[in-house]
Amino acid sequence: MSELRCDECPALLDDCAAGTLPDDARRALEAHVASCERCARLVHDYLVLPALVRRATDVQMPYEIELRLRRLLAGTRRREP
Amino acid sequence: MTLAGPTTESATSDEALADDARRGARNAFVVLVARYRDRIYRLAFRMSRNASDAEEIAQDTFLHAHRAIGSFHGESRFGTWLYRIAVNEALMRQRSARRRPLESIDVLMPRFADVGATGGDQAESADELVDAKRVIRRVREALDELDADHRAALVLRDLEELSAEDAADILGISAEALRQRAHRARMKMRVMLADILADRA
Ligand SMILES: [Zn+2]
Repeated sequence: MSELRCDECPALLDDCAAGTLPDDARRALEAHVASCERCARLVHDYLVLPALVRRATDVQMPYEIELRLRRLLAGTRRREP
Repeated sequence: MTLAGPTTESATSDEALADDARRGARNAFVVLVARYRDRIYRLAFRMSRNASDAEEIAQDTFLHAHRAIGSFHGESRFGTWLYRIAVNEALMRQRSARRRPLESIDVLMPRFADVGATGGDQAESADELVDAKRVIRRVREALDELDADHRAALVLRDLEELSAEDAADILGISAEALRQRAHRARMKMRVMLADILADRA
């Protein structure tokens, strides 16, 4: 892959944030970011920020909610086809 | 993550289970609930930032899906279909209901501390715990400041890590509009959380 241009970085970072960037494109992105201060700052928006927000909102369904849901579902009779 | 659910070679696919549920097999739907409960609850929590709302949204999502399973014929993946129901439940509630206040963050602490800055070190210092609480509160306040459409784009794209196409499909907008909304939401979040992000540079 040839050298990346700055204006190509946002789209790649977008894919990288979602984990859908192929390895060779990721290596090209890393190489560009290592030598470009402007795009290095973008990494914050696309990667560091989402990781922070993901971690701060990482909850699991409380057990009592699942139990209540199961009871509700068991009491519901779907219309038979 | 993907919407395809945790699968091994031998695991029954979501779509096969949905098909069984559609034919009246109650256990099949229970298995789907077990597969998706945490993802749907987390999505609901991120869309509402409030545990009480998240409980109701998650519960209504599964009840709605159970009633409507007869109309699921596998045009999309089951996960996409279920996410769409959950997002609509969350957006509907936001438009109609009074907003509940942000509540105590203590419910979140154990998991955040588990994967905190110390990389899961058991001996979390009091200072680090206070800092983690502060960060969680600030993040939730920042999410709260976004309008519902921007928050939905950010949640699906960056937090649930769906592809732009799947996220756009769920919200009923183009992939390009989805990217723009997520981008704008990130920029707003970055400004609101600038000091915290600077600490982590
Ligand atoms: Zn650059």
